[in-house]
Amino acid sequence: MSVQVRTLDDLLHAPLDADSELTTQEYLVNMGPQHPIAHGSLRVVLRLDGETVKHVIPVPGYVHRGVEKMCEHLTYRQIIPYTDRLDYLSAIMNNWAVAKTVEKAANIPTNERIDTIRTIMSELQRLQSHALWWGVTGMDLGAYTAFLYGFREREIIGEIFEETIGARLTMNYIQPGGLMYDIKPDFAQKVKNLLPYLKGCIEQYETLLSGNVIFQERLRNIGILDGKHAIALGCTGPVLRASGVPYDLRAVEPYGVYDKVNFNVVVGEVGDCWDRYYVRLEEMRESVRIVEQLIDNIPEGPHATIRYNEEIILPEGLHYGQVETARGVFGVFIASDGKNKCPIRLHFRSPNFNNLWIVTAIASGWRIADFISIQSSLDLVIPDIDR
Amino acid sequence: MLRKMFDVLEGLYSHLRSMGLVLKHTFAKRVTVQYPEEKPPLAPRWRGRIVLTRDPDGEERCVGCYLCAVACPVDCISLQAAEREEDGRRYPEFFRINFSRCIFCGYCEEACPTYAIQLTPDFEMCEYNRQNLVYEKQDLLISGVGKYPGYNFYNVAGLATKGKPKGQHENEDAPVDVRSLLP
Repeated sequence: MSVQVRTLDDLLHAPLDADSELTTQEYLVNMGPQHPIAHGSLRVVLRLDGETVKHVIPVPGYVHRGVEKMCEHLTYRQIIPYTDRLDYLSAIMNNWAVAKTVEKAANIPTNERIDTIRTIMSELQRLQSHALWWGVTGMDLGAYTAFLYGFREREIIGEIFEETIGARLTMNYIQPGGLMYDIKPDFAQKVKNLLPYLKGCIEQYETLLSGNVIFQERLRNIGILDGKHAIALGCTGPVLRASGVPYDLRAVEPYGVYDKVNFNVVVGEVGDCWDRYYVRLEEMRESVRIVEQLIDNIPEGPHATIRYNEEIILPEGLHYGQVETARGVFGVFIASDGKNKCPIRLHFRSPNFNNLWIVTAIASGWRIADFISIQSSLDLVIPDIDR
Repeated sequence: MLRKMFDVLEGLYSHLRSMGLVLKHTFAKRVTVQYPEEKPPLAPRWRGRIVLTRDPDGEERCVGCYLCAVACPVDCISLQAAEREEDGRRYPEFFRINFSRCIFCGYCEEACPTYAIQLTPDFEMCEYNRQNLVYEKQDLLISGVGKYPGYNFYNVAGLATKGKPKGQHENEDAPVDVRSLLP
Protein backbone atom coordinates (compact mmCIF):
# COMPACT_ATOMS: atom_id res chain seq x y z
CA MET A 1 0.00 0.00 0.00
CA SER A 2 1.31 3.40 -0.83
CA VAL A 3 0.12 6.67 0.59
CA GLN A 4 0.01 9.34 -2.03
CA VAL A 5 -1.69 12.68 -1.82
CA ARG A 6 -3.79 13.24 -4.91
CA THR A 7 -5.86 16.19 -5.91
CA LEU A 8 -9.02 16.21 -7.93
CA ASP A 9 -7.06 17.51 -10.91
CA ASP A 10 -4.69 14.54 -10.89
CA LEU A 11 -7.65 12.24 -10.80
CA LEU A 12 -9.52 13.83 -13.66
CA HIS A 13 -6.46 13.82 -15.92
CA ALA A 14 -4.93 10.53 -14.85
CA PRO A 15 -3.46 8.40 -17.63
CA LEU A 16 -5.53 5.39 -18.56
CA ASP A 17 -4.28 2.03 -17.44
CA ALA A 18 -3.89 -0.17 -20.50
CA ASP A 19 -1.59 -2.82 -19.14
CA SER A 20 -4.11 -5.62 -18.90
CA GLU A 21 -6.35 -7.20 -21.50
CA LEU A 22 -9.20 -7.14 -19.02
CA THR A 23 -8.99 -3.39 -18.59
CA THR A 24 -12.07 -1.69 -19.87
CA GLN A 25 -12.89 1.93 -20.42
CA GLU A 26 -12.33 3.84 -17.19
CA TYR A 27 -14.98 6.25 -16.10
CA LEU A 28 -15.70 8.68 -13.30
CA VAL A 29 -18.67 8.42 -11.03
CA ASN A 30 -19.84 10.95 -8.49
CA MET A 31 -21.02 9.34 -5.31
CA GLY A 32 -22.86 12.13 -3.56
CA PRO A 33 -23.35 14.87 -2.52
CA GLN A 34 -26.96 13.75 -2.76
CA HIS A 35 -26.83 10.01 -2.40
CA PRO A 36 -28.38 7.62 0.11
CA ILE A 37 -24.97 6.25 0.98
CA ALA A 38 -23.34 9.61 1.57
CA HIS A 39 -23.94 10.41 5.24
CA GLY A 40 -24.73 14.02 4.66
CA SER A 41 -23.44 16.04 1.76
CA LEU A 42 -20.14 14.40 0.98
CA ARG A 43 -19.13 14.13 -2.64
CA VAL A 44 -16.81 11.29 -3.48
CA VAL A 45 -15.45 11.01 -7.00
CA LEU A 46 -14.68 7.44 -7.93
CA ARG A 47 -12.54 6.43 -10.90
CA LEU A 48 -13.89 3.07 -11.88
CA ASP A 49 -12.83 0.22 -14.09
CA GLY A 50 -15.94 -1.88 -14.40
CA GLU A 51 -16.96 -2.20 -10.80
CA THR A 52 -13.46 -1.93 -9.40
CA VAL A 53 -12.49 1.30 -7.72
CA LYS A 54 -9.24 2.64 -9.13
CA HIS A 55 -8.91 5.91 -7.28
CA VAL A 56 -11.07 7.75 -4.82
CA ILE A 57 -11.09 11.47 -4.22
CA PRO A 58 -13.40 12.92 -1.60
CA VAL A 59 -14.55 16.47 -2.35
CA PRO A 60 -15.70 18.03 0.91
CA GLY A 61 -17.03 21.53 1.28
CA TYR A 62 -20.75 21.29 0.58
CA VAL A 63 -21.66 22.14 4.19
CA HIS A 64 -19.00 24.78 4.67
CA ARG A 65 -20.41 27.52 6.88
CA GLY A 66 -17.25 29.31 7.94
CA VAL A 67 -17.71 28.50 11.61
CA GLU A 68 -14.12 29.34 12.46
CA LYS A 69 -14.43 32.79 10.92
CA MET A 70 -17.75 33.38 12.64
CA CYS A 71 -16.16 32.52 15.99
CA GLU A 72 -13.73 35.41 15.63
CA HIS A 73 -16.37 37.90 16.73
CA LEU A 74 -17.90 35.76 19.47
CA THR A 75 -16.95 35.50 23.11
CA TYR A 76 -15.61 32.17 24.28
CA ARG A 77 -18.90 31.24 25.83
CA GLN A 78 -20.76 32.05 22.65
CA ILE A 79 -18.46 29.76 20.66
CA ILE A 80 -19.82 26.74 22.56
CA PRO A 81 -23.17 26.46 20.70
CA TYR A 82 -21.33 26.61 17.40
CA THR A 83 -19.28 23.53 18.30
CA ASP A 84 -22.52 21.59 18.73
CA ARG A 85 -23.06 22.00 15.04
CA LEU A 86 -19.75 20.55 13.91
CA ASP A 87 -19.81 16.94 14.98
CA TYR A 88 -23.42 16.93 16.03
CA LEU A 89 -23.25 13.37 17.33
CA SER A 90 -20.65 14.25 19.95
CA ALA A 91 -21.83 17.74 20.82
CA ILE A 92 -21.04 17.53 24.54
CA MET A 93 -17.49 16.40 23.87
CA ASN A 94 -16.96 19.23 21.41
CA ASN A 95 -18.21 21.66 24.04
CA TRP A 96 -15.74 20.19 26.44
CA ALA A 97 -12.85 20.77 24.05
CA VAL A 98 -13.52 24.53 23.95
CA ALA A 99 -14.21 24.69 27.67
CA LYS A 100 -11.03 22.78 28.43
CA THR A 101 -8.87 25.03 26.28
CA VAL A 102 -10.35 28.21 27.74
CA GLU A 103 -10.11 26.92 31.31
CA LYS A 104 -6.48 25.93 30.87
CA ALA A 105 -5.53 29.23 29.27
CA ALA A 106 -7.44 31.53 31.64
CA ASN A 107 -6.78 29.48 34.80
CA ILE A 108 -10.44 28.86 35.54
CA PRO A 109 -10.75 26.12 38.15
CA THR A 110 -13.26 23.30 38.00
CA ASN A 111 -14.39 21.09 40.82
CA GLU A 112 -14.84 17.36 41.20
CA ARG A 113 -18.59 17.50 40.61
CA ILE A 114 -18.24 19.35 37.34
CA ASP A 115 -15.60 16.93 36.09
CA THR A 116 -17.64 13.87 37.07
CA ILE A 117 -20.82 15.09 35.41
CA ARG A 118 -18.88 16.07 32.31
CA THR A 119 -17.35 12.61 32.10
CA ILE A 120 -20.69 10.84 32.59
CA MET A 121 -22.38 12.99 29.98
CA SER A 122 -19.54 12.47 27.51
CA GLU A 123 -19.70 8.72 27.88
CA LEU A 124 -23.48 8.70 27.48
CA GLN A 125 -23.02 10.77 24.37
CA ARG A 126 -20.40 8.35 23.09
CA LEU A 127 -22.86 5.50 23.61
CA GLN A 128 -25.51 7.46 21.77
CA SER A 129 -23.17 8.26 18.91
CA HIS A 130 -21.98 4.67 18.53
CA ALA A 131 -25.57 3.42 18.67
CA LEU A 132 -26.41 5.63 15.73
CA TRP A 133 -23.27 4.61 13.88
CA TRP A 134 -24.12 0.94 14.42
CA GLY A 135 -27.57 1.43 13.00
CA VAL A 136 -26.34 3.41 10.03
CA THR A 137 -23.67 0.83 9.23
CA GLY A 138 -26.35 -1.80 9.20
CA MET A 139 -28.52 0.29 6.94
CA ASP A 140 -25.65 0.99 4.54
CA LEU A 141 -25.01 -2.72 4.21
CA GLY A 142 -28.63 -3.55 3.63
CA ALA A 143 -29.95 -4.30 7.13
CA TYR A 144 -32.62 -1.70 7.70
CA THR A 145 -33.73 -3.35 10.95
CA ALA A 146 -30.44 -2.42 12.56
CA PHE A 147 -31.15 1.25 11.96
CA LEU A 148 -34.34 1.08 13.97
CA TYR A 149 -32.65 -0.81 16.79
CA GLY A 150 -29.85 1.73 16.94
CA PHE A 151 -32.33 4.57 17.15
CA ARG A 152 -34.19 2.86 19.97
CA GLU A 153 -31.21 3.21 22.32
CA ARG A 154 -30.41 6.65 21.02
CA GLU A 155 -33.89 7.75 21.96
CA ILE A 156 -33.65 6.41 25.50
CA ILE A 157 -30.33 8.14 26.18
CA GLY A 158 -31.73 11.22 24.47
CA GLU A 159 -34.53 11.36 27.03
CA ILE A 160 -31.98 11.62 29.81
CA PHE A 161 -30.27 14.48 28.00
CA GLU A 162 -33.61 16.10 27.40
CA GLU A 163 -34.46 16.11 31.09
CA THR A 164 -31.09 17.40 32.21
CA ILE A 165 -30.11 19.72 29.40
CA GLY A 166 -33.29 20.56 27.54
CA ALA A 167 -32.13 19.54 24.09
CA ARG A 168 -31.55 16.32 22.22
CA LEU A 169 -28.94 17.06 19.61
CA THR A 170 -27.42 20.50 20.07
CA MET A 171 -26.80 20.29 23.77
CA ASN A 172 -24.73 23.38 24.57
CA TYR A 173 -24.11 21.91 28.00
CA ILE A 174 -20.47 22.21 29.05
CA GLN A 175 -19.45 25.84 29.53
CA PRO A 176 -16.10 27.38 30.44
CA GLY A 177 -15.90 26.96 34.21
CA GLY A 178 -18.86 24.71 34.71
CA LEU A 179 -22.08 23.37 33.30
CA MET A 180 -25.10 25.08 31.85
CA TYR A 181 -27.55 23.38 34.24
CA ASP A 182 -27.11 21.26 37.32
CA ILE A 183 -28.29 17.66 37.15
CA LYS A 184 -31.68 16.81 38.58
CA PRO A 185 -31.93 14.80 41.82
CA ASP A 186 -33.17 11.68 40.05
CA PHE A 187 -30.52 11.78 37.32
CA ALA A 188 -28.24 9.17 38.93
CA GLN A 189 -31.08 6.73 39.52
CA LYS A 190 -32.35 7.06 35.97
CA VAL A 191 -28.91 6.45 34.48
CA LYS A 192 -28.41 3.50 36.82
CA ASN A 193 -31.65 1.93 35.67
CA LEU A 194 -30.59 2.44 32.08
CA LEU A 195 -27.18 0.77 32.22
CA PRO A 196 -28.28 -2.92 32.50
CA TYR A 197 -30.69 -2.31 29.65
CA LEU A 198 -27.92 -0.88 27.49
CA LYS A 199 -25.74 -3.90 28.22
CA GLY A 200 -28.55 -6.13 27.03
CA CYS A 201 -28.89 -4.02 23.91
CA ILE A 202 -25.23 -4.45 23.03
CA GLU A 203 -25.74 -8.21 23.30
CA GLN A 204 -28.66 -7.86 20.92
CA TYR A 205 -26.41 -5.99 18.50
CA GLU A 206 -24.08 -8.98 18.55
CA THR A 207 -26.90 -11.38 17.78
CA LEU A 208 -28.53 -9.22 15.16
CA LEU A 209 -25.57 -8.04 13.14
CA SER A 210 -22.14 -9.14 14.37
CA GLY A 211 -23.07 -12.82 14.36
CA ASN A 212 -24.59 -12.66 10.89
CA VAL A 213 -22.43 -14.36 8.28
CA ILE A 214 -23.35 -12.05 5.39
CA PHE A 215 -22.53 -9.01 7.51
CA GLN A 216 -19.18 -10.48 8.50
CA GLU A 217 -18.31 -11.27 4.89
CA ARG A 218 -19.03 -7.67 3.96
CA LEU A 219 -16.54 -6.38 6.53
CA ARG A 220 -13.79 -8.92 7.15
CA ASN A 221 -10.46 -8.22 5.40
CA ILE A 222 -11.90 -5.24 3.54
CA GLY A 223 -10.05 -1.94 3.48
CA ILE A 224 -7.05 -2.91 5.55
CA LEU A 225 -5.15 0.02 7.06
CA ASP A 226 -2.02 -0.80 9.02
CA GLY A 227 -0.90 1.10 12.09
CA LYS A 228 2.06 2.82 10.42
CA HIS A 229 -0.05 4.35 7.70
CA ALA A 230 -2.86 5.18 10.09
CA ILE A 231 -0.44 7.31 12.09
CA ALA A 232 1.03 8.85 8.93
CA LEU A 233 -2.43 9.85 7.71
CA GLY A 234 -3.29 11.45 11.04
CA CYS A 235 -6.14 9.12 11.94
CA THR A 236 -7.47 9.17 15.46
CA GLY A 237 -10.16 7.48 17.44
CA PRO A 238 -11.57 4.05 16.70
CA VAL A 239 -10.11 4.11 13.18
CA LEU A 240 -6.58 4.40 14.57
CA ARG A 241 -7.17 1.96 17.41
CA ALA A 242 -8.57 -0.64 15.02
CA SER A 243 -5.20 -0.58 13.25
CA GLY A 244 -3.53 -1.69 16.46
CA VAL A 245 -2.32 1.63 17.85
CA PRO A 246 -3.44 1.97 21.48
CA TYR A 247 -3.80 5.76 21.38
CA ASP A 248 -6.77 7.00 23.34
CA LEU A 249 -6.59 10.52 24.71
CA ARG A 250 -8.66 9.46 27.71
CA ALA A 251 -5.89 7.09 28.70
CA VAL A 252 -2.81 8.84 27.29
CA GLU A 253 -3.41 12.30 28.74
CA PRO A 254 -6.43 11.94 31.03
CA TYR A 255 -8.76 14.89 31.49
CA GLY A 256 -11.90 15.12 33.59
CA VAL A 257 -11.98 12.13 35.93
CA TYR A 258 -10.76 9.59 33.38
CA ASP A 259 -7.67 9.00 35.51
CA LYS A 260 -9.86 7.70 38.33
CA VAL A 261 -11.79 5.08 36.38
CA ASN A 262 -10.74 1.72 35.02
CA PHE A 263 -11.31 1.09 31.37
CA ASN A 264 -9.52 -0.72 28.58
CA VAL A 265 -8.27 0.92 25.44
CA VAL A 266 -9.83 -1.37 22.84
CA VAL A 267 -7.39 -2.23 20.07
CA GLY A 268 -7.96 -4.09 16.83
CA GLU A 269 -5.54 -6.49 15.18
CA VAL A 270 -5.84 -6.37 11.40
CA GLY A 271 -7.16 -2.88 10.75
CA ASP A 272 -9.93 -3.98 8.41
CA CYS A 273 -13.52 -2.83 8.45
CA TRP A 274 -14.47 -5.59 10.85
CA ASP A 275 -11.93 -4.37 13.40
CA ARG A 276 -13.23 -0.83 13.07
CA TYR A 277 -16.71 -2.21 13.63
CA TYR A 278 -15.76 -4.30 16.60
CA VAL A 279 -13.61 -1.67 18.30
CA ARG A 280 -16.63 0.63 18.42
CA LEU A 281 -18.88 -2.10 19.75
CA GLU A 282 -16.36 -2.89 22.50
CA GLU A 283 -16.03 0.82 23.22
CA MET A 284 -19.73 0.92 23.98
CA ARG A 285 -19.17 -1.71 26.65
CA GLU A 286 -16.26 0.29 28.05
CA SER A 287 -18.41 3.43 28.14
CA VAL A 288 -21.06 1.58 30.13
CA ARG A 289 -18.31 0.47 32.51
CA ILE A 290 -17.04 4.03 32.98
CA VAL A 291 -20.51 5.36 33.71
CA GLU A 292 -21.12 2.49 36.13
CA GLN A 293 -18.05 3.41 38.13
CA LEU A 294 -18.92 7.09 38.35
CA ILE A 295 -22.67 7.20 38.73
CA ASP A 296 -22.80 5.99 42.35
CA ASN A 297 -20.78 8.79 43.88
CA ILE A 298 -21.21 12.11 42.13
CA PRO A 299 -19.56 14.57 44.55
CA GLU A 300 -21.50 17.50 45.93
CA GLY A 301 -20.68 21.06 45.03
CA PRO A 302 -21.67 23.93 42.78
CA HIS A 303 -22.21 23.20 39.09
CA ALA A 304 -20.19 26.23 37.97
CA THR A 305 -17.14 27.94 39.38
CA ILE A 306 -17.54 31.24 37.54
CA ARG A 307 -20.61 33.32 36.85
CA TYR A 308 -22.17 32.91 33.45
CA ASN A 309 -21.51 36.55 32.54
CA GLU A 310 -17.93 36.71 33.76
CA GLU A 311 -15.57 38.28 31.26
CA ILE A 312 -13.03 35.77 30.02
CA ILE A 313 -9.91 37.18 28.41
CA LEU A 314 -7.25 34.68 27.48
CA PRO A 315 -3.60 35.70 27.83
CA GLU A 316 -1.78 36.66 24.68
CA GLY A 317 -0.53 33.71 22.70
CA LEU A 318 -1.61 30.42 21.21
CA HIS A 319 -3.72 27.96 23.15
CA TYR A 320 -4.55 24.40 22.26
CA GLY A 321 -6.71 21.78 23.91
CA GLN A 322 -8.07 18.48 22.76
CA VAL A 323 -10.50 15.81 23.83
CA GLU A 324 -11.35 12.34 22.59
CA THR A 325 -14.75 12.48 20.92
CA ALA A 326 -16.63 9.49 19.59
CA ARG A 327 -14.67 9.76 16.36
CA GLY A 328 -11.22 10.75 17.53
CA VAL A 329 -9.26 13.72 18.72
CA PHE A 330 -11.13 16.99 18.51
CA GLY A 331 -8.79 19.91 19.07
CA VAL A 332 -9.37 23.62 19.51
CA PHE A 333 -6.66 26.06 18.59
CA ILE A 334 -7.16 29.61 19.82
CA ALA A 335 -4.96 32.60 19.09
CA SER A 336 -5.61 35.44 21.51
CA ASP A 337 -4.19 38.96 21.59
CA GLY A 338 -4.68 39.28 25.34
CA LYS A 339 -6.98 42.31 25.06
CA ASN A 340 -10.23 41.17 23.55
CA LYS A 341 -13.01 38.89 24.71
CA CYS A 342 -12.94 37.11 21.36
CA PRO A 343 -10.20 35.03 19.76
CA ILE A 344 -8.32 36.67 16.91
CA ARG A 345 -8.11 33.31 15.16
CA LEU A 346 -9.68 29.99 15.92
CA HIS A 347 -9.24 26.60 14.35
CA PHE A 348 -10.93 23.28 15.01
CA ARG A 349 -8.95 20.14 14.43
CA SER A 350 -11.67 17.74 13.47
CA PRO A 351 -11.12 13.98 13.60
CA ASN A 352 -13.42 13.30 10.65
CA PHE A 353 -11.36 15.32 8.23
CA ASN A 354 -8.29 13.16 8.75
CA ASN A 355 -10.30 9.95 8.96
CA LEU A 356 -11.95 10.74 5.64
CA TRP A 357 -8.74 10.99 3.68
CA ILE A 358 -7.66 7.44 4.37
CA VAL A 359 -10.16 6.33 1.73
CA THR A 360 -7.73 7.70 -0.87
CA ALA A 361 -5.17 5.24 0.46
CA ILE A 362 -7.21 2.14 1.25
CA ALA A 363 -10.18 2.09 -1.11
CA SER A 364 -8.28 1.52 -4.38
CA GLY A 365 -8.72 -1.96 -5.74
CA TRP A 366 -11.97 -2.79 -3.97
CA ARG A 367 -15.41 -3.03 -5.52
CA ILE A 368 -18.00 -0.27 -5.12
CA ALA A 369 -19.91 -2.43 -2.64
CA ASP A 370 -16.77 -2.74 -0.53
CA PHE A 371 -16.26 0.99 -0.73
CA ILE A 372 -19.61 1.35 1.02
CA SER A 373 -18.34 -0.84 3.86
CA ILE A 374 -15.15 1.21 4.08
CA GLN A 375 -16.99 4.50 4.14
CA SER A 376 -19.49 3.45 6.76
CA SER A 377 -16.79 1.92 8.94
CA LEU A 378 -15.12 5.34 9.16
CA ASP A 379 -18.22 6.82 10.84
CA LEU A 380 -18.07 10.19 9.12
CA VAL A 381 -20.02 13.27 10.14
CA ILE A 382 -19.88 15.70 7.25
CA PRO A 383 -20.46 19.08 8.97
CA ASP A 384 -17.37 18.34 11.05
CA ILE A 385 -15.30 17.84 7.90
CA ASP A 386 -16.52 21.00 6.19
CA ARG A 387 -16.96 23.21 9.26
CA MET B 1 -17.36 -30.83 1.03
CA LEU B 2 -18.13 -31.37 4.71
CA ARG B 3 -16.57 -28.01 5.46
CA LYS B 4 -18.82 -26.30 2.93
CA MET B 5 -21.89 -27.99 4.35
CA PHE B 6 -20.92 -26.80 7.79
CA ASP B 7 -20.49 -23.22 6.50
CA VAL B 8 -23.91 -23.26 4.93
CA LEU B 9 -25.50 -24.55 8.10
CA GLU B 10 -23.69 -21.98 10.20
CA GLY B 11 -24.82 -19.21 7.88
CA LEU B 12 -28.36 -20.48 8.03
CA TYR B 13 -28.25 -20.60 11.81
CA SER B 14 -26.93 -17.03 12.07
CA HIS B 15 -29.76 -15.83 9.87
CA LEU B 16 -32.40 -17.69 11.81
CA ARG B 17 -30.99 -16.31 15.04
CA SER B 18 -31.18 -12.71 13.75
CA MET B 19 -34.68 -13.30 12.44
CA GLY B 20 -35.72 -14.90 15.73
CA LEU B 21 -34.61 -11.81 17.60
CA VAL B 22 -36.63 -9.60 15.30
CA LEU B 23 -39.62 -11.91 15.62
CA LYS B 24 -39.36 -11.76 19.40
CA HIS B 25 -39.59 -7.99 19.18
CA THR B 26 -42.91 -8.28 17.40
CA PHE B 27 -44.41 -9.06 20.78
CA ALA B 28 -42.41 -6.52 22.77
CA LYS B 29 -43.72 -3.17 23.91
CA ARG B 30 -43.67 -0.63 21.10
CA VAL B 31 -41.11 2.17 21.32
CA THR B 32 -42.50 4.25 18.48
CA VAL B 33 -45.03 7.00 19.07
CA GLN B 34 -47.56 7.92 16.38
CA TYR B 35 -46.35 11.48 16.40
CA PRO B 36 -48.83 14.00 15.05
CA GLU B 37 -51.77 12.26 16.75
CA GLU B 38 -49.97 11.16 19.90
CA LYS B 39 -47.40 13.55 21.33
CA PRO B 40 -44.51 12.44 23.50
CA PRO B 41 -44.06 14.37 26.75
CA LEU B 42 -41.39 17.05 26.68
CA ALA B 43 -39.13 17.77 29.63
CA PRO B 44 -39.85 20.97 31.60
CA ARG B 45 -36.34 22.16 30.84
CA TRP B 46 -36.85 21.80 27.11
CA ARG B 47 -35.38 24.71 25.22
CA GLY B 48 -38.03 25.55 22.67
CA ARG B 49 -40.15 28.50 21.58
CA ILE B 50 -39.18 31.68 23.42
CA VAL B 51 -41.86 33.65 25.29
CA LEU B 52 -41.98 36.90 27.23
CA THR B 53 -43.77 36.47 30.54
CA ARG B 54 -45.66 38.77 32.86
CA ASP B 55 -45.28 39.17 36.60
CA PRO B 56 -48.08 38.06 38.99
CA ASP B 57 -49.69 41.51 38.76
CA GLY B 58 -50.09 41.14 35.02
CA GLU B 59 -47.43 43.66 34.04
CA GLU B 60 -44.66 42.91 31.57
CA ARG B 61 -41.57 41.55 33.25
CA CYS B 62 -39.16 42.75 30.58
CA VAL B 63 -37.32 45.91 31.58
CA GLY B 64 -35.50 46.40 28.28
CA CYS B 65 -31.97 45.90 29.63
CA TYR B 66 -30.62 44.42 26.34
CA LEU B 67 -28.73 41.65 28.18
CA CYS B 68 -30.47 38.93 26.15
CA ALA B 69 -29.56 40.66 22.90
CA VAL B 70 -25.92 40.85 24.03
CA ALA B 71 -25.78 37.22 25.16
CA CYS B 72 -27.28 35.91 21.92
CA PRO B 73 -24.55 34.25 19.82
CA VAL B 74 -26.49 34.69 16.57
CA ASP B 75 -27.90 38.19 17.17
CA CYS B 76 -31.49 37.16 16.64
CA ILE B 77 -33.03 39.38 19.36
CA SER B 78 -33.65 43.05 18.82
CA LEU B 79 -35.52 45.41 21.13
CA GLN B 80 -35.93 49.04 22.01
CA ALA B 81 -36.35 50.10 25.63
CA ALA B 82 -38.80 52.82 26.66
CA GLU B 83 -40.02 54.33 29.93
CA ARG B 84 -43.62 54.54 31.01
CA GLU B 85 -44.90 58.07 31.57
CA GLU B 86 -46.65 57.62 34.91
CA ASP B 87 -44.03 55.80 37.02
CA GLY B 88 -40.89 55.53 34.91
CA ARG B 89 -41.10 51.76 34.65
CA ARG B 90 -39.06 50.46 31.75
CA TYR B 91 -40.58 48.27 29.07
CA PRO B 92 -39.60 47.24 25.56
CA GLU B 93 -41.13 49.42 22.88
CA PHE B 94 -40.68 46.59 20.43
CA PHE B 95 -39.23 43.16 20.99
CA ARG B 96 -38.41 41.07 17.98
CA ILE B 97 -36.96 37.57 17.78
CA ASN B 98 -36.00 36.16 14.44
CA PHE B 99 -36.65 32.44 14.93
CA SER B 100 -35.08 31.55 11.61
CA ARG B 101 -31.78 32.57 13.19
CA CYS B 102 -32.41 31.39 16.76
CA ILE B 103 -30.46 28.29 17.77
CA PHE B 104 -32.24 27.73 21.10
CA CYS B 105 -29.04 27.82 23.13
CA GLY B 106 -30.77 29.25 26.22
CA TYR B 107 -28.29 32.06 26.84
CA CYS B 108 -31.00 34.76 26.73
CA GLU B 109 -32.98 33.01 29.45
CA GLU B 110 -29.82 32.67 31.52
CA ALA B 111 -28.90 36.33 31.08
CA CYS B 112 -32.35 37.76 31.88
CA PRO B 113 -32.30 39.45 35.32
CA THR B 114 -36.11 39.55 35.64
CA TYR B 115 -37.05 36.04 34.38
CA ALA B 116 -38.93 37.76 31.57
CA ILE B 117 -37.61 35.80 28.59
CA GLN B 118 -38.12 32.07 28.93
CA LEU B 119 -37.73 29.02 26.74
CA THR B 120 -40.74 26.74 26.69
CA PRO B 121 -41.31 23.07 25.80
CA ASP B 122 -42.68 23.66 22.34
CA PHE B 123 -40.93 22.99 19.08
CA GLU B 124 -43.77 22.92 16.57
CA MET B 125 -43.26 26.30 14.95
CA CYS B 126 -42.65 25.53 11.30
CA GLU B 127 -43.84 28.03 8.73
CA TYR B 128 -44.22 28.04 4.97
CA ASN B 129 -43.19 31.66 4.78
CA ARG B 130 -39.83 32.63 6.21
CA GLN B 131 -41.04 36.08 7.23
CA ASN B 132 -43.57 34.50 9.57
CA LEU B 133 -40.71 33.27 11.74
CA VAL B 134 -39.94 36.82 12.83
CA TYR B 135 -41.94 37.08 16.04
CA GLU B 136 -42.98 40.51 17.24
CA LYS B 137 -43.79 41.46 20.81
CA GLN B 138 -47.47 40.59 20.53
CA ASP B 139 -46.50 37.09 19.36
CA LEU B 140 -43.99 36.58 22.14
CA LEU B 141 -45.83 38.05 25.11
CA ILE B 142 -47.94 35.56 27.04
CA SER B 143 -50.39 36.40 29.82
CA GLY B 144 -48.88 33.92 32.31
CA VAL B 145 -45.88 33.89 34.63
CA GLY B 146 -44.00 30.97 33.08
CA LYS B 147 -41.53 28.99 35.18
CA TYR B 148 -41.26 31.34 38.17
CA PRO B 149 -44.82 31.82 39.51
CA GLY B 150 -44.36 34.25 42.40
CA TYR B 151 -41.50 36.32 41.11
CA ASN B 152 -41.93 40.06 40.68
CA PHE B 153 -38.75 41.95 39.92
CA TYR B 154 -40.05 45.32 41.12
CA ASN B 155 -40.90 43.86 44.54
CA VAL B 156 -37.27 43.09 45.24
CA ALA B 157 -35.46 45.60 43.07
CA GLY B 158 -35.46 48.51 45.54
CA LEU B 159 -37.13 50.82 43.07
CA ALA B 160 -40.28 52.86 43.52
CA THR B 161 -43.30 51.59 41.60
CA LYS B 162 -46.83 52.78 41.09
CA GLY B 163 -48.54 53.11 44.49
CA LYS B 164 -45.50 51.94 46.44
CA PRO B 165 -42.58 54.22 47.20
CA LYS B 166 -39.07 53.08 48.04
CA GLY B 167 -38.79 50.88 51.13
CA GLN B 168 -42.34 49.52 51.01
CA HIS B 169 -41.68 46.25 49.19
CA GLU B 170 -40.88 42.76 50.46
CA ASN B 171 -37.84 42.46 52.77
CA GLU B 172 -36.98 46.08 52.21
CA ASP B 173 -35.70 48.57 54.77
CA ALA B 174 -36.72 52.20 54.69
CA PRO B 175 -34.36 54.24 52.51
CA VAL B 176 -31.40 55.89 54.19
CA ASP B 177 -31.06 59.65 54.03
CA VAL B 178 -27.65 59.84 52.39
CA ARG B 179 -27.25 63.52 53.25
CA SER B 180 -27.75 63.01 56.98
CA LEU B 181 -24.68 62.74 59.20
CA LEU B 182 -26.50 60.61 61.79
CA PRO B 183 -25.85 56.87 61.70
